[in-house]
Amino acid sequence: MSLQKRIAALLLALALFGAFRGGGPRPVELAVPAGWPAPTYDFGRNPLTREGIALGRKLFYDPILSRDSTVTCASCHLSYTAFTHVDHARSHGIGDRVGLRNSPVLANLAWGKLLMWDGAVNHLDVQALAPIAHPDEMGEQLPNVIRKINEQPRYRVLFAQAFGDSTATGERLLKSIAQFMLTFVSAGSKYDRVMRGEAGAQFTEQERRGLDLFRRHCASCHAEPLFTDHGFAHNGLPLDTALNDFGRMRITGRREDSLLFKVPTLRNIEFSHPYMHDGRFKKLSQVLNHYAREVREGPTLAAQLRGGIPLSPEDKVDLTAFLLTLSDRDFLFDPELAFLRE
Amino acid sequence: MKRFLLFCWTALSVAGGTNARGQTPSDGFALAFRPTVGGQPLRLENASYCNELEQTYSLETFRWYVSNIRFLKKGAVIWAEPAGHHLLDAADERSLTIRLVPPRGLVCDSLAFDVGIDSLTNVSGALGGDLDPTLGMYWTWQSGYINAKIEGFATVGSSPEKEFQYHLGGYSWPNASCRRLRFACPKKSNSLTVEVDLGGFLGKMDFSRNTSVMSPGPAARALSDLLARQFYVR
Repeated sequence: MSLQKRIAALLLALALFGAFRGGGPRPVELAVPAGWPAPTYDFGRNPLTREGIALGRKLFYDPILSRDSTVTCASCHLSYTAFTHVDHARSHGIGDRVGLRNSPVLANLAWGKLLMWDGAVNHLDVQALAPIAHPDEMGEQLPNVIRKINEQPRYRVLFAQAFGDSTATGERLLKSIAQFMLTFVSAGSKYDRVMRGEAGAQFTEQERRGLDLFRRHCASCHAEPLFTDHGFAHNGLPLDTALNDFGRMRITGRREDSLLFKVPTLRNIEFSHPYMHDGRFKKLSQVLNHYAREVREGPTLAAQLRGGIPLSPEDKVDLTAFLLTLSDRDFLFDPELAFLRE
Repeated sequence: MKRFLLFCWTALSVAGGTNARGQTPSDGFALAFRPTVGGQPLRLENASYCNELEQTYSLETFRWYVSNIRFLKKGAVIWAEPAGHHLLDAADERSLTIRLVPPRGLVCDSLAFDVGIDSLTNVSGALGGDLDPTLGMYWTWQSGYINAKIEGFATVGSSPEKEFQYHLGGYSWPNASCRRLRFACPKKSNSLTVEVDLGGFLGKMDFSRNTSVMSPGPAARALSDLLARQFYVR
């Protein structure tokens, strides 16, 4: 054994000793914002710990997950832009390969149900499998990721700290990434402060009119306080025949699911452009114009959208003013969620 | 330094150890599986087979899950293996025998198990052991376990590589493809051997048309029914 290897082994042994002596991972309880429903995520199966979240954060920002070490989770889910891929209609992965869809916003995932625009993923834990393996995203095989991680002494330490065992497994890798993502809680917008009755928090007249319009025309799908009902709907966008993406039907095979896509949260919508599953709209005004006068009728169109939403030019301005109150800068610039410099 | 390393080794062994202490392979009940083609042990190398359509094929992979093993008496479950999900691999002889430790003196009239993974387990997030998604039995493009994976090559195959791949899975209605099987408990024996005849599974398969099934749906359902019919006890 060379001297260098001996030193590395000694350091690893010392770190592992410290990890075990420390009394195990320290529990973290997710704070549920006042007035919100109970989370749907089963924390009993994957209890949050400081060390589990820290490991997940490290992995989220590590290109080791991708085949050529160029792409991280954050490449398409950047914290400063509501954990989505700003400025790209459809997100791109390794080798500049462009995918089928716009990367979704990641927020309040502990309250979610099915994931992905088409609901292909049934649990937050297993979500990361999809981008890791997709040839247009990270293009890597999970067993390779595990092998690469197990070769790195610093990860052995992090896994020991998080799980009491220094070996990375698929289960532990996925659970730690899920733990980090579960901490993406956005509940600090102006809307939230007003709803909580915080001192000094007040809507302007225009924002108040916008909220009324929102509740009348939008909230049946984008339900408060999460601004999604976690369901799927066809919102009247015509099929892009270059992509032929039929959404939910790709998974269920049912004709009644044709062109249904997941109802996204509208939180931080100011920062999450471009909009829609394929990012076809660059601006919020285009989104509102779509609902006001461009909704395409079809057999699976959401009943609420038949004939479009009657919105005057003034209504659109008011509605936009309200939507901007959903911006949560404390969340977007939370140092606990950003890339950790070492 | 040696002391440190010894400590670490011990700590890791305890942390990663199993709870199988006190249990020896000769104890309990052995549920064994024997993959065959035409009554002969399945060979994954240097063997080619011919089906009823006179199409020649060879097999490369046969892996499947056996789970929820339980002993019954008059239709009621009297013992179920706790948290038992077993990945069996025709290429790994050791994986083909499942050691069970029911209470001593248990008298049953039938033994049941699932070929595949039930729907509840399929929606329970990331799991470990034989259910770890690194084992190649979990889909990535959509959630769900592959209950059985059968792969090989056929001379009339329609793909350039002449390969065939049947990845049978799906956990939700109407495409659930986990199948429950039940056999009589052996009398005066603490083991049961179940044969799985892939020759029967591929007997009527037209490899020139049907070379891949890799998603939940009617085809996976039908093939899961067909596979379930190939499990039998002599």
